[in-house]
Amino acid sequence: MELFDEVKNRYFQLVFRIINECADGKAKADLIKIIDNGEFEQKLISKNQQSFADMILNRGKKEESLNLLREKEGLYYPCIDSNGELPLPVRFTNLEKAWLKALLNQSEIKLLLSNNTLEKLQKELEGYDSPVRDEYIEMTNTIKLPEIFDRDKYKENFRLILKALTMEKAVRYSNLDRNGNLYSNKLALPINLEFSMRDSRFRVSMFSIDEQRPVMANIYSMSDISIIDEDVGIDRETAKNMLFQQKYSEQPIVLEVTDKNYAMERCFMCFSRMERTARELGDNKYEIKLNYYLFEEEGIIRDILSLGPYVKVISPKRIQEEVIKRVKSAIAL
Amino acid sequence: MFNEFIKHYNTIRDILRDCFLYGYFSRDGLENKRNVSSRKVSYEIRRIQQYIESEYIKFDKDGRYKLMSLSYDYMRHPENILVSTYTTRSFTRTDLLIFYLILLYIASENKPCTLKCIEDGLSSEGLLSYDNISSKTIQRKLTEMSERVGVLTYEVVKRTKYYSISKDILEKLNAYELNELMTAIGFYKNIVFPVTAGYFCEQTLKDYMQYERKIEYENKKIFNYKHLHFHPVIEEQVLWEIIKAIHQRRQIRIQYHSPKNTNNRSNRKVLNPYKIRYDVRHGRYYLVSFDKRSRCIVSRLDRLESVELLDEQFKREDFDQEYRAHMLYSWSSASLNPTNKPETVKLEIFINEPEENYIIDRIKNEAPLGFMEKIADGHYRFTMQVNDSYEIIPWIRSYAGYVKVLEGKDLAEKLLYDWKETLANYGIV
Repeated sequence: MELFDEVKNRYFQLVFRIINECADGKAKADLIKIIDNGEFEQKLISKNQQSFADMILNRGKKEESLNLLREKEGLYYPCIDSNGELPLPVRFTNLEKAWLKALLNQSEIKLLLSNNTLEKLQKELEGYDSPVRDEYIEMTNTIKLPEIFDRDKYKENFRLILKALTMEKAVRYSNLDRNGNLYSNKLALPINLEFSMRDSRFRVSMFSIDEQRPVMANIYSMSDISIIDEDVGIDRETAKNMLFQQKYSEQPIVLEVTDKNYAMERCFMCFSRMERTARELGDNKYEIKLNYYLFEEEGIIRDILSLGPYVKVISPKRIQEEVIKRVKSAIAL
Repeated sequence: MFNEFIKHYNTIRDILRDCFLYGYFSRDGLENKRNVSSRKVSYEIRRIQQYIESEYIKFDKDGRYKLMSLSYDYMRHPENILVSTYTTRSFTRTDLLIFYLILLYIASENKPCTLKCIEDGLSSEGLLSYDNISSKTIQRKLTEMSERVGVLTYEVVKRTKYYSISKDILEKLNAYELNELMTAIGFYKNIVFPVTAGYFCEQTLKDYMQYERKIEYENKKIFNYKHLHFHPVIEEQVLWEIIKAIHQRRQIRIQYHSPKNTNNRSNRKVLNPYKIRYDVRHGRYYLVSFDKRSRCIVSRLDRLESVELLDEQFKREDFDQEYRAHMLYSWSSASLNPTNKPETVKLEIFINEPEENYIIDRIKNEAPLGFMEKIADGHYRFTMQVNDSYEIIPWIRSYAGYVKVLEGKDLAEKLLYDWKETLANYGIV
């Protein structure tokens, strides 16, 4: 199957959902709601000036309508009676099966799937020949961290944090930081599990109830985790918003990029994850404004330095001075 | 059915890249860059506005120009906003109708059906008119649905095909296990390439849980990603073709689009595709392949205009050693000419111990094939081999103030020149 395939067209899929929604009959108003939610924000109009809703609700000429639904006593039903069964069974496509099989072979899949689930799926996809294989794609520019010593403990920690996140409950835990300091019996509300694409490690972003601030911990360095079934005075959504607000910089970083040696392309690729605006200044120069989280600052400074003389920090002054300081130290070495 | 849909993903690939990655182009700027008419640019911009949710599309003013860009904040939006551009392939009314009529009919019969049985059934219900839809069209659609898409399966009995709905591979999973699978797909959909297929998988499982099992699922958006790029999705159509070719051991003909080279013939090459390399830091795909003389060719996927799978096959294992010889010491994409040896780079590292020990760990982790030795407190030496030392210049630069080059072809001079240039930019001489 193609990756870019008509079967996965948004409207093609919308028809699928509409037919299944109509299994027991659906009123026109309900169908209009489903269509509104499923369509593009700007509605499409066919060459014959018909909207998608017109076509699916058979509001035009017979040859222009889809006629996949039939109206009976004010309700719409699939055009073929499904005898009480689901009108359109849901099945994975070949492309999806190929991807799913690759998923089952991921090194950390056992963190997320129990042996039972994994075995059942492996059995179902046993004879399926998937072209999606790790051996065909090599990741580069990665960070290879030391192996996790106690895999069982790591798996147990991961599952507890995942459970706490799903239940939106706080956890008590201990944590050993990279300098060997042990922090015992801490109380925090997990916000997200963060996965780094470069070092393939999970970290958990939490809101510390003890310190009333966002904190981050490595899952492997945590211990004595227990889920707390009590109100800690803050919910996950509020904690998440506090993290976004407290840690988002008020002032963007403004860079001037000279487009030599593909510097502009490299610069945009480096910072593609961030909210940004850009404009052309002329004379092969461009201005980029980057909105960033304060905890990313060190990484951004390193990225700016890595781009060399083609990128100049215009503001804030603090970051400009840090870049200049490091460059001067580099020359002095 | 609607003009807004497109037949080939290439139609929007370039403009998506220009808008998503760069985002500083006005309409005039895009016309000039791509050398296309203003009408074409307008159509393409309108398409992107249709395909991508408006909250991610930004318009900025630059004088009289309006600049369109796509932007997201990775902390707030871990869902790849560009995947929706893969749900826009055009189809005809007949395509849609036959697809669903066939599925509806076979599902309602609840037993394997022949082409004739399907035709007669649909015709007797008044759903099919031979004036508009021929028997061949239905046959073609049945083949497509069973062989290409995979939602149907068939059995041949006395040279007649009996079609039925494909097996439900999730049948034996209970509600808890389906939820587990949903969480796993929700996490890996941004990691296992092509990620577009992961997003499709997630939607199908959601539909399955809702319609087949009546299980409520609430997406709690548990996962977040660091160093996740969205823009590589733009190259996934090309990536998918290459992955299939590697798997089927088939040669490919690529058309390489290079801004520097407009010679059509030199841009079309027949290659044995061996491996894709994905630079995680920059979000860039490279294809490593070998030509008929076993020369290693590295091509950026964003520069590939098209990939054609040929009938000619190759033995992948013939290139195992070649690949290792060419790419073992590659930082990202630079291959080693077999007549050359890898370059040795020696670095001296100065840190304040113990508070900056993490820098030593980070360097070791980022260059795992290198060797670190401690000379004295706060003073280390790191030796590594690379195919091309110029490839690691950005990496060395990122350790400005900590690292000094001891050995490496012109590296120290090049870096010193860069640092002086950098200071000159700030008016410091």
